[in-house]
Amino acid sequence: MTLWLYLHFPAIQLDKLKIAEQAQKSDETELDGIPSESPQPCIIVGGRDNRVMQLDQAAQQLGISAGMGLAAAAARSRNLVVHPYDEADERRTIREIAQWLYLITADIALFAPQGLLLKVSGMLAMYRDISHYLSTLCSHLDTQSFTYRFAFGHSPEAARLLAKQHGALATQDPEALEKALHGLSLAVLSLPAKQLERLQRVGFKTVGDLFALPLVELGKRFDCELVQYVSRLRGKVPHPVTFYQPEPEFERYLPLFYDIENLDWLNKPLLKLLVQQEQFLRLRNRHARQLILTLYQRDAEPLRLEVGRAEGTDRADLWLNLCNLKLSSVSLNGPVQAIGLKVAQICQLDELMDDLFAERRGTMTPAGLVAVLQAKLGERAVQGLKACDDLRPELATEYCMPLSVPGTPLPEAPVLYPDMGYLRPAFLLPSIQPLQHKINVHLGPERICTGWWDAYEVERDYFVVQDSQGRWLWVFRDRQQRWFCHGVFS
Amino acid sequence: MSNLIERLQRQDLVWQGSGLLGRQLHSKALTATGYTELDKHLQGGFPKIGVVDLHTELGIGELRLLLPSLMQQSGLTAVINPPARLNADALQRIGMDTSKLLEITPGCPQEALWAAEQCLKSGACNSVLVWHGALQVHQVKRLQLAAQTGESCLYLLRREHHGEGTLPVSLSLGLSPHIKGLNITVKKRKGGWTQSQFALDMSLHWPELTEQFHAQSKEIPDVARQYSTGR
Repeated sequence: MTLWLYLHFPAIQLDKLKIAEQAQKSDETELDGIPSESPQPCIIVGGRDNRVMQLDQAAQQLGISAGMGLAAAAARSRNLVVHPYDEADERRTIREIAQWLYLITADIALFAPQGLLLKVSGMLAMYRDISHYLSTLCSHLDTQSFTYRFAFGHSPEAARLLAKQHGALATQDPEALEKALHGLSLAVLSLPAKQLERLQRVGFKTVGDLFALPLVELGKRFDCELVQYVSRLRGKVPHPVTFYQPEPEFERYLPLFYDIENLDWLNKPLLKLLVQQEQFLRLRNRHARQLILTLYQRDAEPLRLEVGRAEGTDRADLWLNLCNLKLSSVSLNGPVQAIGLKVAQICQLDELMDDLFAERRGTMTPAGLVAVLQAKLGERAVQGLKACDDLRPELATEYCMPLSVPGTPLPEAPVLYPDMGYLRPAFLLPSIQPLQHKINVHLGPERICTGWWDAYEVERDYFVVQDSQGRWLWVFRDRQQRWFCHGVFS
Repeated sequence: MSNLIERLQRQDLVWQGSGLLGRQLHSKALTATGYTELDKHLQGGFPKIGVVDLHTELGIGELRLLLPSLMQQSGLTAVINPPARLNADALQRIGMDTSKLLEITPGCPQEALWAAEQCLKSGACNSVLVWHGALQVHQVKRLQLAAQTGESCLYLLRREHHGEGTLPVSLSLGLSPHIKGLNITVKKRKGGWTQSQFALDMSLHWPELTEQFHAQSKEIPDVARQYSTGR
């Protein structure tokens, strides 16, 4: 029989709030050295009639209990902190917990928003025995500081019920489990209220009473849904579960505790996300090449920033550096409320073969250098060059992404210096300038008359000239006998 | 453990591959300029690591002076804040690998210096060309340090600025046009005395861009010097 373990997280949202509070407090005490005051009672309310769903110990001491109305709870204390229940956030968190557990256990089924079901049988080949498995699991899970309950069971549903009702049922002994299951009251079963009522009227009180009747008899008296449920509970019929698959993409959303207007303060939350990303990538043996950083601003459109790096890396510190360079040129329209991080391009890692004896010079590879420069100066400011086959001088050079062009095949024989006659200046003026001073013509004319096919026709006579200061210029005369300067022989 | 190694090192009993290579590099830390005459005056060529200050006007042949040595390099060449667009066609014609060029056009002088420092210390660039105005001593020192980290050379191309004082550069040259090519004044050279002035003959490499060539060819009949377009 397959053995299942169900983990029930009764208060994810509250735990998250407490963790955040703790982190903030430790920051503050670091800064000011002021001892923290006693915690304020905190409750989470939800549902249509605002019932208390989660509450902390301080709230419990005030006499608040789960299921109490908001008004009754609020009447107990003035400084009660009330948060609305956020199911979407819990769903997101349970996925994150599943992802964290995936490192040590394989088959995880999500019972959102508060539960996880683990298939234990398969994992026993890896761990010595169940107690070893359980202790590994618990120590792994405790690092996340969520409260949880767990129980083993021979069917998913049984494990779920036991985990919810009992605190920690660490036994895997079938008889003990059966006994615990038999002791459960019928009210905890997830059956429709009408069905429950009918069962109670017949005189069933506990699950044990229900199990005492053979399934065939049960089928005669009640409908087949109940029969199915009971057989699933007893593990006679397989319970359909879909197992969790780790996400192929990294995408995170981090709400900030307070609005941030100074971009320097984004460093800490950003680093947190980047460290998560580093773990994500390292587990998959991948590198990121491009990140999309989204700043969610109050009363303004979210700001999307693309941070790229031609040579992929997974290291959080390198990415933080690039993000900071990018952020240094950004101006906000409103305070930042949340940040999002997404890996847009994932690549295989490329191994660098280093010379063992060569002294390490510098700190970066060419691609890394280009990434840093482009992050700070913008992509347009850092460009590579490509020669094109066009006779029009301004079209003979094209800008491209640096390092994207393969090296130009150099002529076999080292023809270092140009042939006589084909002389081009090393610098072309960005725009053609009218010639305004006296010049001394040395070479020319060289007529370039081409481009009739793409509406950019040129008919120019080029001359190599020298002006009075001895500068070598490349000038041309057009069809209307006007003179222009086009380049500089530097 | 580390204590032991340190002791052995002090007694010169540990052989370090990296140290040896460093010493070798150091001894020949010059790049030939490609002009024999200039090499002779600079006793070997441009420094491989350091800052070279060139006082020059635009368009008198300052880039032609550097191109032969730039073409020998295996790493990247960063061109920061050039006075006009680089012409890949022309550079490829003379045999330069244009894929190794990085053209960087920063918005302001501070960014230009920042980019120069990044390029220098990255170790990915062999040489960095910067067109810049006046510089302060501390800025040059910082660039010099960056160049040492990345083992690269910075060429500063700028007009002569009077009243700037001496900057801590490795080599300082003043360039002016000459009938045969360039008139070069060695203003300062680290580890050398020579304060020389000489004319560099560039007619071997770029005959069409020297006045002398045209003066001579004027004597030849008109037909012979007719310009032939690219072959």
